[in-house]
Amino acid sequence: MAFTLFRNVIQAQPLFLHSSALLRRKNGVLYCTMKSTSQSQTQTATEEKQQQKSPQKVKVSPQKQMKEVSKIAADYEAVIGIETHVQLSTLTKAFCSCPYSYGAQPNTCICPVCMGLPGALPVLNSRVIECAVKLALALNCKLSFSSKFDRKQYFYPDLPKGYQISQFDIPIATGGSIDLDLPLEFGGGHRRFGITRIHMEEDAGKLMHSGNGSYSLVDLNRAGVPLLEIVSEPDMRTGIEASEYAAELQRVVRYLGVGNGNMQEGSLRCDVNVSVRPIGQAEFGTKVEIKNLNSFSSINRAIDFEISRQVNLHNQGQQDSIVQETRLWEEGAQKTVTMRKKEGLADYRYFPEPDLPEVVLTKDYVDSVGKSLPELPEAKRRRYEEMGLSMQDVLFLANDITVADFFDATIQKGADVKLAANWIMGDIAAYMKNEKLSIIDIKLVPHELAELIASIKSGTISGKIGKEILFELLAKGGTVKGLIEEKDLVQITDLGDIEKMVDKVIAENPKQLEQYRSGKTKLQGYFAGQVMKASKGKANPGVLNKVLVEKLNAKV
Amino acid sequence: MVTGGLLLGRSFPLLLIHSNKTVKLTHGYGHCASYSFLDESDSPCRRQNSAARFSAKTLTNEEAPDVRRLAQTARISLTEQEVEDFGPKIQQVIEWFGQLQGVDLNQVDLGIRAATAADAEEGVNLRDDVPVTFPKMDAIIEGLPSYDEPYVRVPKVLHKED
Repeated sequence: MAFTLFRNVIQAQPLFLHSSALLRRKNGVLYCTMKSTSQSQTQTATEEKQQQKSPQKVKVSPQKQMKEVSKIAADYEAVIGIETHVQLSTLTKAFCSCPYSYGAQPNTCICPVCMGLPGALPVLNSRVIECAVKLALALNCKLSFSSKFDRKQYFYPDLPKGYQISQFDIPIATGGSIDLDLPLEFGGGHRRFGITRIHMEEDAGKLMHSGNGSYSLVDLNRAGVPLLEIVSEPDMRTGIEASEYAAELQRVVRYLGVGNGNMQEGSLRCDVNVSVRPIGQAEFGTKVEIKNLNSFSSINRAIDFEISRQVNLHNQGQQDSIVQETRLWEEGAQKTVTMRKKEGLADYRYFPEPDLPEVVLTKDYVDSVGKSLPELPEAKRRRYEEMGLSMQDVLFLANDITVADFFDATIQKGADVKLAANWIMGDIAAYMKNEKLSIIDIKLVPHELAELIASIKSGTISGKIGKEILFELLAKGGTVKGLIEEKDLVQITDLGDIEKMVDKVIAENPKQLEQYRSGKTKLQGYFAGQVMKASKGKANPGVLNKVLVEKLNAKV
Repeated sequence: MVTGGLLLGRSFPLLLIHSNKTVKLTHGYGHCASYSFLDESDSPCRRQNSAARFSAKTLTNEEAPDVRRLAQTARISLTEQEVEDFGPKIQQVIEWFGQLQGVDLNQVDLGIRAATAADAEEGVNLRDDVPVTFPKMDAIIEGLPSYDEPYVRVPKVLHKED
């Protein structure tokens, strides 16, 4: 996060000498938009629930967990910052025209540029700038209309050129924020976290270490793939805030279509910095970096573990043993372990990339990109809230842009908001989960869902029949009207018709009638079932029960 | 602390060395390449006369260049003699650049970087996002010093700082 970047000493002296203005930057100004930490109290109960939900067999005593967290809330404050790398889903790499596809045969998406062969020169992919501007606008950042690339130099086998093309002191965007809503099972609540900067850079290849040998293996398909690095302000205070921040970034990235933000695939990578300080202390504590986080829940659990570890050391008077280091999260053991101690800061010898020209944005360009932005998750959530939906519904519907679009299309056809939400969140979501389909794949279309809702509301069909029709529509498509006609599903509401059916059923079941009259009034359900069966489920339940009660209790 | 890489050519950071020696560059991969440098008559250090020699104090720090550290970060191996010799020579180069301090920049607009050849080229600044498969990937693979199909085999380096 912000701490790390600006402390790298600039080694390369720019060749023009009005350097003082350039080197001025917000060094070490770590302002925090502090959010209340009282949420952490409510999180204890939900944290244990989270632990139980997680796929790992984790032995965590809930009482111990609660004790830990309440101790923390009382005396210490955790300060968390996150650096996120988002892999852009452009068709070609950042600086060459190689196509990139995840999972391709190793070393088959290469060319002299991304392999760093002598004489090859980088040329920037225009779509990278577009993605960067989109993300910057979505995160309320200030854009640098003039920015540059720099070389970040270090030697490592997955870095063909011996340097990474990145942006050092003049990134494309700075000073933004992200809004999110915490899930209800963690106490809910709205949060806003600051974004320090966003910059463009290229990815390195993939390095695999052999178990015992003295060699490693490199796949350079990924070398040169464009990344956006997003550095947050150290505003998060708990594991859940951090994991929700990452989840919201994923949501925004997917909404914008700039990347698929998949942590498991590595197209969204988070490194977390955690420190604790006694409440009231102004200085930050020593920060520890945590790597190897492969899911949002790992982010959550790793941070909570690290906070407890640091607080325990404080409580034992051993806070000096907290050193600035990088730790790895071990998913199996559910703890962080030392990877290596940071021996001094890395010297990357940054200097401006001479092979790439300045990145210049015009106001017209930025405005046109701004106009092309879809409704963002935060705006959607507020709009859904205003429509009267509960927070739970809001969070579900706004989570995935394809689901939100389906929902929006359905209510645009006039469907009742709450009913549409219920259908989507209930039966439709269950079907999608069972069949492992996304909402785009199902055969049901929004206007048919609207038609279904209207038919039930108008009494044309019963709710139960509606569910059957839904299943048919999901699996095979078709129209509501068509199915009603084809299967003769129109509800029977005519009083006379129902009375006839009831009479028949009563006549056919004298024994049950006797039992009912002698006190077993629960048998009304039996009679109702029989009428339903006879009517093939079409009898209107309300009218049916009214008639039943009348007839069963008559003729005494 | 003196800069670890002065850029001369397009892709390779080289150390400008005031000698005719052949210098072995060792990369982290255990690769070797040899380069011959300018002979003494061409050296810019030569051209500088004592009157123009400029104290580059404002540009550099007071300390002499830490040659050992420079060599380590650039992954260039030097003999003890070279470590001794190169310090003052590197300092001379820096001072030669220090002449730029004498330029009056008061009337000049501040830029964010020096214009290079990349800025001069017309129409090559940006590229459309259209995939093109490189036709000679086999030749690249063949040129690899160590290939363990389908991977590139490299020495095992665990940490980036090593």
